[in-house]
Amino acid sequence: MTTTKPSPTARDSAGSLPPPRYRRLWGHGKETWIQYGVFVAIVVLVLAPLVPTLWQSLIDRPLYASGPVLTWQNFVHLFTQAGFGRVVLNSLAFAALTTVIAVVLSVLLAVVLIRTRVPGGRVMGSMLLWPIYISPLVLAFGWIIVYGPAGFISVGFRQIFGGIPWNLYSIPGMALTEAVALIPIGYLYCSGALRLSDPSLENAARTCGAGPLRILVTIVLPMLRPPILYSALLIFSTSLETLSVPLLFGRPVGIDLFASFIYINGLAQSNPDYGLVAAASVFTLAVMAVLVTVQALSLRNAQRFVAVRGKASRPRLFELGRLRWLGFAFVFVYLLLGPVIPLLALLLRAFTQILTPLVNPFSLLTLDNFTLVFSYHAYVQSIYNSIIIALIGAVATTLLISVVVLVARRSGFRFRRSLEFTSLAPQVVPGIILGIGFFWAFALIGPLNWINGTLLALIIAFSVRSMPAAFGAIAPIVMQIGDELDQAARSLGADWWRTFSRILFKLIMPGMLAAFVLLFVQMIKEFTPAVFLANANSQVIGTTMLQLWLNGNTGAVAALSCVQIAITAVFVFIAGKVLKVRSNA
Amino acid sequence: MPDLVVQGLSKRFGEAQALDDISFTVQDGEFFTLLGPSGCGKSTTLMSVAGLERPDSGSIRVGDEVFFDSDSGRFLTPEQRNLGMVFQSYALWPHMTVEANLAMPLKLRKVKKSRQTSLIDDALDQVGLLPYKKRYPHQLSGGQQQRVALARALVYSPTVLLLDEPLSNLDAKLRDRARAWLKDLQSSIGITTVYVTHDQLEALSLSDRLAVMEDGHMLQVASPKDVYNAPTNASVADFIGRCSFFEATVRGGESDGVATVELAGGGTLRVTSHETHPDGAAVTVGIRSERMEVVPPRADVGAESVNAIPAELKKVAFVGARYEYELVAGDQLVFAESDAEVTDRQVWLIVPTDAAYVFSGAAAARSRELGGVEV
Repeated sequence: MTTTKPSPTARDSAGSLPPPRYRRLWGHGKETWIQYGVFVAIVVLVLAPLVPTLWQSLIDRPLYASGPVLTWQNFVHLFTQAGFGRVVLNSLAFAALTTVIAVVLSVLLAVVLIRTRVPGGRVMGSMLLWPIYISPLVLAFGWIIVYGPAGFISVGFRQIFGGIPWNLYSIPGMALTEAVALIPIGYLYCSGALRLSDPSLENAARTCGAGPLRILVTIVLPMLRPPILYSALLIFSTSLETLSVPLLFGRPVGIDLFASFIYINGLAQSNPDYGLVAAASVFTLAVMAVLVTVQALSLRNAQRFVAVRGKASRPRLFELGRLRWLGFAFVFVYLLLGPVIPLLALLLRAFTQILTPLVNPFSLLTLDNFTLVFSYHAYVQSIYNSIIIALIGAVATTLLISVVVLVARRSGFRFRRSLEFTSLAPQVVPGIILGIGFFWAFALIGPLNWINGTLLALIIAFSVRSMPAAFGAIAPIVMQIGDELDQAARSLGADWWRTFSRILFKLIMPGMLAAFVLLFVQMIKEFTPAVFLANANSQVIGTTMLQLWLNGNTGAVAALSCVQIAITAVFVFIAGKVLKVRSNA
Repeated sequence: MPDLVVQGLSKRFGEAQALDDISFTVQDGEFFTLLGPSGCGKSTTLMSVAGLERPDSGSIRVGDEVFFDSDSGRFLTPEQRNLGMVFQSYALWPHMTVEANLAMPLKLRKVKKSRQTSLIDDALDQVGLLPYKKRYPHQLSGGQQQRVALARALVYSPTVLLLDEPLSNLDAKLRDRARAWLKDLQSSIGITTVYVTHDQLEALSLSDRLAVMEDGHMLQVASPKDVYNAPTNASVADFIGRCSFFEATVRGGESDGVATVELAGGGTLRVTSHETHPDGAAVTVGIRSERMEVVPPRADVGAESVNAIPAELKKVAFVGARYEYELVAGDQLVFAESDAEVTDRQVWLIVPTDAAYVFSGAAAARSRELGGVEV
C-alpha cells in the first residue's frame, strides 16, 4: 500500500452536493406506499379463499342465496350422515403409513448413497429426485399401469403364480405410491444433513475403537433426528392434502380421504351440498394448521441441536467391503420398482395400443395416442394453458414474493412479521380447498364474477398456492447479503426502494431465477385448484388427464403425461444452461 | 461546515439500556472519537447519528438541520441526512466496479455524467487508487478496499464523515500506516468526523477529542492528552493505558493540587489530585504501570522515603523493549513496566507524583492477569 498525499483542493473543486430529494405522496415516502401495498395485496390474496369457505360452512344455504341463517348443522351433518369420521380415520392412517414408509426409505437411501461407496452412487442419487419434477398424478398413473389390478406386472405375476399377494387399491397400496412421490423430500433433508455433519464426531468414535457399522448406528443415525423429524412432518402434511392418489386408487373401492371427499361432494354430484363441502374444508384446514404449527415449532427446536458447521469438510465414506453390494442392490431395486418401471411403462403405454405381458408391446407400437391428444382442440388448449399459467404465474409470484421478502426481512415495516406469516399461510390450504375458496370469492363479489373460469383465476390460485415455496427459495438468498450493504446504500443517499432496485436487485437475481424455475416446475404439474376453478376453455394438463382417465382413455393419459414430463425436462435443461452461464459471468 | 450536536440520546434494546442520556458536540472540522469496549454503546451512537438506528429519546442536529428530535417526532431517514459513512466490513457492492460504487451516490443525486467522472477521479486520486477504477472489489486488497469505501463516502462531499472501526479488518502493520494516512486525509479535507473504535492507540493518535464510553454512558470527553493524564474516573484510567488501583485514605491537606494519601496496605504517597478530598476520606488511587519504577533494595530508599512502596516481586515477563512485573504491595496486586531488569524478591516501587490519580470512593480494585515467569 502506498501512502498518498491527499490534494487539498479536491474538496473545493467538488463543492457540497445536497442530499437527493424523493417525491412524497400525501406526506408519505414511496417505501411506505410499497410496503403497505404489498401487505394489503398479500392479506387479500390469502384471505379471499378462506373467508367465503368459513362463512359457507356456518350458514344453511349456498352463499349466493339470500337470507342465510347461521347454523352448526353443516358440521353435524358432516359427521353423521356424510360419514366424515371414516374419512378422517382413513386420512390419518394413510398419512401416517406414507410417512413411515417414506422416512424409513429415505433415511436408508441417504445413508447408503451419501456415506458409503456404492457403484453408480452419484447417478442413482440424482435419479432419486426425479419424482420432484413429475406430477404425483403421473406417478399414480404409472403405478396403476404396472401394479394395478390389471397392471403389467400384476397380470404377469398372476400368469406365473396364479394370484397376486398385493392390492394397490388399499390404504397400504396408496401409501406406498404416495411415499415414492414424497421420498425426495426426506432424502433431500437427510442427505443435506449427512453431507454437512461434522466428521470429527465420527473420527472421535473411530479413535475410541468403534467400527463403521457401530459408528453408523450410534453416531450417524442419532444425528439425523432433526431432519427426520422435520421431513416426517412435511411428508405427513403433504400426504394429508393430496388428491391424486386417493382419487385414482381410493375412489374405485370407496376409500375416501380429505381431498377426494371434497372432490366427490363438491364436483362429482349433480346437486352439491356446499355447506357440507365447506364444513369438510374448514375441518381439514384446522387439522393442517395444527400440523404446520407443530412443524414450525419443531424446526425452531431442531435448529438448536443441529450439529452443522459452516465450513464443511468432506465426510469420510464408510468402506463396507462386500456389504456395499447389498447397499447397491437396495438402492437399485428401489429405483427400479419405485419410479423407473412405472415411468417406463407409462412411456411405453403412450406409444402402444394396449400394454399387457400377454402380447409383445413392440408389436403394438402406434402414435395414435398422441394423434388423439393433438387432434382435439380442447386437449391442445390445456397444454397451452398450463404453459401460460406456469410462465405468468411463476414470474408474478417471484416478483411479488421478492418484494415481500425484502419488506419482511429488510425493512422497518411495522407489520413485517405478520406479512411473512401471511405469505407462508397457504401452506395449510390444500389445493382443492384453495380452488373452491377462490371460486366462491369470485362468485360472491359481483364485479369479479367474470374472473371465474378464466386463466386469470387459475394464475391467481396457482400463485397463492406457491407463495410459501417462493418465500422459502428467496429468503435465504436475501439473508446471505450482509445488511451493511443496505446500510451503506442508505447512508449514501438511496431510499429504501432504490436500495433494492439499484443495488440489491442484481445481488438477489440468482435467487429469483432459481425461484422462478422452481415455481414453473411446480405450476406445470399443479392441477388441484383448477378442478373447481377451470371451465371448458381453461383446463390444464392435469385436469384434462384426470378427465381422460375417468373416461377410461388410458393411452391418451399416458401421452399427455409424456408431454408434461417433456415440457418440464426441456425447461429445466434450458434453465440449467442459462443459469450456469450467468453464474460464471 | 456545521457542528454536530447530540443531546440526551437514550435507547433501550429490550431490557438493556444501550444509551443512557448521551450528549456531546462535535465542532466543525473536528476529529471526534467514541472509544470503549464492545457493548458500550459507541456503535449505537454512531448508527443513531447515521439514521440507521432510531433512538428512543433525545435530539441530533447538524447545524440548523434537525436529524432527530423525540419531542417533535422528527426523524430523517439516512438518505436525507447527507452523511458519509464507512463500515467495518467496507460494504462495497461486490457486483459493481470501483467506479460504479463511487458513481452510485452521484447518480442518486442526479449529477451530470461529465461532472460524475471528474468527481470520481478526484476522490480516487485523493486515496491514491485512480489506476484501480475499473477493478471489482474482490480484486483489491483489504487496505485498498478500505480506501475505496472512504472515497465512496467522500465523493459527494457529505457534511459529516462517520467511520465505524474502519481499520479493524487490517493487519497490524497496515493499520499503523492507514492510521497516519487517514489522519492526513481528514485534516486536509477538514471534514467533521465521528470515529468509532475499541482500540485506544487509534483513539489517542487520531482524535482531536475523544469520548470514553461504558455501559451506555460517556465517562469522559476530552483531548487525548487530558484523558490520559487526567482521567476523571477509575474506569477511564483503566481503559486508557494500564493502571494498578489501591484503596487509600487522605492524610493531611492538599496544597497546589497535590494530596497526601496513606495506602491501606502500607506506604504514603504524595500524588496529583484535580479534586479536593476532605481529610480522612476513603479514596482509590490509580498508578500508571508504565510510569512506576521498580528498584532493588538500596541504601537511599527506605520506609520513610516519600512515594516509595515496599513490594514483593511475583512474576517477570520479558516483552522485548521492556520488562513487565507483577508484584504484591501489602495485599494488593500491582503491575509495573520498566526498562531495567530486577531480580530481587524484595523491591521498592517509586511512584512519580504525577503518575498517580486520586478518585473518590473505594472502587473495586481492577487487575488483569499477566503472563510471565514466577520469580
